[in-house]
Amino acid sequence: MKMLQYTVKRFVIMLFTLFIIATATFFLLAATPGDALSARVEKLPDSVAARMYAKYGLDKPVMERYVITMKGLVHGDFGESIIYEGQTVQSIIKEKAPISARLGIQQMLLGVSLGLALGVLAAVKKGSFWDYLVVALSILLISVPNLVFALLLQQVFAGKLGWFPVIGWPSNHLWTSGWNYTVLPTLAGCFGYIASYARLLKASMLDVMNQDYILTAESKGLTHREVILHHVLRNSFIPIVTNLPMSVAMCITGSFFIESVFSIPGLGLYYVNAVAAQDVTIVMGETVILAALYIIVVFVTDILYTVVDPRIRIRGGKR
Amino acid sequence: MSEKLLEVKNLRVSYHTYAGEVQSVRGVSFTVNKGETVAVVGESGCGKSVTAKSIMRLIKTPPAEIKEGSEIIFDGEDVLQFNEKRLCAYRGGEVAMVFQDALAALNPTMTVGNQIIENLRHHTKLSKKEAKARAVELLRMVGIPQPESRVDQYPHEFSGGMRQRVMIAIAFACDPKLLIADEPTTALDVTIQAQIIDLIKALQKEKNASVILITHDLGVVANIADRIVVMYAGQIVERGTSIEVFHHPRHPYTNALLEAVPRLDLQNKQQLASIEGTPPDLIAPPKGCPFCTRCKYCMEICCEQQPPVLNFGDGHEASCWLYQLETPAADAPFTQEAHYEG
Amino acid sequence: MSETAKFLTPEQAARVDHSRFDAEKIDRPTITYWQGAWRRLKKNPLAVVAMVMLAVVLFFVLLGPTISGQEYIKINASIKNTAPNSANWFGTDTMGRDIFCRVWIGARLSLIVALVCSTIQIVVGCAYGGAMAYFGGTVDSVMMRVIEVITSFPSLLITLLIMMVVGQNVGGLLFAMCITSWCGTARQMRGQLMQLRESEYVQAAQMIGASPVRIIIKHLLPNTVSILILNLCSSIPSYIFTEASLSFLGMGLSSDVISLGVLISQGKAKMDFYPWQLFFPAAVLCIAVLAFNLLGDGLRDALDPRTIE
Repeated sequence: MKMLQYTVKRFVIMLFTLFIIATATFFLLAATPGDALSARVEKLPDSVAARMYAKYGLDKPVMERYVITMKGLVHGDFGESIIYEGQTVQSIIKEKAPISARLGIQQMLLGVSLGLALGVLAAVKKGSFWDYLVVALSILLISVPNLVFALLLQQVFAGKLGWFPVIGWPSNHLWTSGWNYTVLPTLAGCFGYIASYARLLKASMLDVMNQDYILTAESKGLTHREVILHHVLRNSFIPIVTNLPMSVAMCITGSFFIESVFSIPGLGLYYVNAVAAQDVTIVMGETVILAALYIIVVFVTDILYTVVDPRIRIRGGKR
Repeated sequence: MSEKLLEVKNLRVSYHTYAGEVQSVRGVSFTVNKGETVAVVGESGCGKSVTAKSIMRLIKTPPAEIKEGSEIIFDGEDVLQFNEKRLCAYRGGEVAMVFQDALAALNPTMTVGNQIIENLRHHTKLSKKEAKARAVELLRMVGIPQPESRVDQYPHEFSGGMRQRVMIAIAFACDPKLLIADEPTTALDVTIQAQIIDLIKALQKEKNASVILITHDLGVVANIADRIVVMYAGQIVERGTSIEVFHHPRHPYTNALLEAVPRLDLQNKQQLASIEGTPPDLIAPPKGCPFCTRCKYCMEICCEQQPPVLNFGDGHEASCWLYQLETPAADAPFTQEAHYEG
Repeated sequence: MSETAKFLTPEQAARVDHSRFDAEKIDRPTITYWQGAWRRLKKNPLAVVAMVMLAVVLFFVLLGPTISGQEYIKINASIKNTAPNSANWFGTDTMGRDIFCRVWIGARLSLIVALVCSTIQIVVGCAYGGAMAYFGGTVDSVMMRVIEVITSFPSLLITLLIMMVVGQNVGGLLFAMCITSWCGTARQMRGQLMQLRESEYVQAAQMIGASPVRIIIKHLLPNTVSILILNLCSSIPSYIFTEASLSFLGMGLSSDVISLGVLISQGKAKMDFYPWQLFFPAAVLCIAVLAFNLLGDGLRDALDPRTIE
């Protein structure tokens, strides 16, 4: 019962948040100097231009447009792209999201698994050469921006050595083909995950290893291995598990910079271009969808907390 | 004579810190016989917990270091020489430990049943089902009501006293020969303290186990310990049978500790005594008696030289210069009847 | 011991006056929290390396363009795209401008942007977080809700939008990058202050009549300043990153301003032919960020008095 109440409350807050975000986005876009059509209508006669403006409702006053847009949002109708005729937010997301998602999932799988392995290594061999190596590596990886990694990999492995295509993405069979295109973008994006998850897990494991119940486990005669596997890992995975949903959300929205370097036609790049071109409907639609995704992820994270940590379960909800 | 179960010889443990080497335990020796309860008493920081953890080999090295020449003989074997396999059989199987803060000492994400079962399965060949049945039985044995349903609950669902009972159930799961109880009652309400001590006492009788009870509370010790070891600043300052130490304390520190215990049996309600000052810094231990700065009867020699260990008969020993005086110190009541044997 | 039969001499048995021990106690040096932190920091080799790296970067940022004596604005067609040599240490760009000078001038702007943003983030975050903790109740929950809404915004989007509204200049960039970042600081401050207010030692201090000023200086400051310093060390690199990435996408600073991001973006266009035009700005960016990260790591350990060993 408590849980239901909590969920309903969260849902109402979530709708309210989305409303504010949509409103803010709308007025920011409205405040931006120029508009999406100005470049397109430049060479057209005035009457045609006026008709174009009317078609997208851009001739109406701001408040009226705001009401129309919000009404559309409520019905799930985000409208048609101003730049690309005939395309809607739904069709664009359907087309672009799998590309960004594949890239993101590949980056995440590789990065998170490597990062966790390194984190365990550093924590178990604390103070050894391996520990210092992992610490040095993760600080180095955090200090080099994705962007620089991407450029470096592109320059060396695609440019100099010619092992992989310089830019592009497989156009058919979105999920399975064209591995050679995905190698470099995947690598470039996974370093961040490696560094952050290695650090997170190491810190968390060291924290758990200092707890009294680890002494209890040792005093039961468990081997070092058993203590790590049965007691340390499970407890130190709590922050990892609760951090994962956020990483998943990030990987669906895509990595703008890597998509830009490798000219990958993903959601991130498209989004940035839409903002630059002031494609109002697309920006509105994508923003609301991404924000909704984010809010859902935060909610899922809160629920996950209660699942992985029995201490929280009894209080029924919030951290 | 009863048989020796555990013999700690010249145990020295140091911690390496930024500030320097802290000599937590400085040459501690004592024995525990089979079926006997030995209480190790002292203030916090006197090295009693470190001693207990050393016996279990739970000291983290580094930053700690168990010095060369230390020996811990358990049933004829040196614990400090155990390999990992032998150590795993020893811990939990032959020696078990109960910690001060049961909430911190129980894994929060594991049901209490599983924490008992883990211990059972590690040292016996019980199947999962048998181990679970045994876990329920153990919980009943330590006095937890409705053990069948409690066995699947998490530690935070238990009260403080119940959690300590669970810890005791885990400790006694594999019938250890020695139980080390490190301040088992400190975190509990006074009313619960006696229950826990009685439980330990009853189980010890039943299983014929030895117990090392680490505590700073002499009141807890009185009705359970056979012998008492008093530690101060990493050394043993006095030891003897419970009766001897309680009725004829020889070391001024023991005496001060006893005066600090609240009592109802005194005629003229004396003011509760406290011990002024703080224990010495163990990074640079004093060359003389470590208690000298806080001792009411401190003499010149106390600041210069470590006092000798004097035997007062029947295993009662104390390290103090006061018994080397030609005429007993007039204001030190406990030395008046001094008649040590050389 | 067998010397038990020997009695003590009267000199040995003379009673000791306890005031003597009190005198000994005083000469033990007490070190403050900050002295301890500084001592721990100095013992951490990585942190020392980071401080040296930062000092070197700062030196070149301040004096680099002066000591090389090269032109970084004037176009010189005769030395277009030269490789690094004794006159132009990092080579020249497509318009014959000295890259060494341009890199340090660019780093100057990037660092200033990062520092100003971090300062804004911390000042706003502290004020907001402090207000939340101070007022509590309804005010607190309303203010918290505002933060929740702001953090639900896709942060890149809001930055891009604001850049478009206010224009691609330094002021716009500062505003755009700060608009969401202070929320994290505010949350941390609120949490820390709430926890401190409830903590027993602050209550104890209040009870014995410590003045609010003393409580703030002795208890609240050390416990919040360390959080702020760590905040600073992690936010500076992230601002440097964001500026570079935005400029790289062409949505940050316009290309007539010199910043590391602008230089990287210009270098990328020529990277197949003149790789040093990309390499040097990217390398300086990485070194600066690495130094801040290492220092932050060292500070995290040093500022926690519980880390012994």
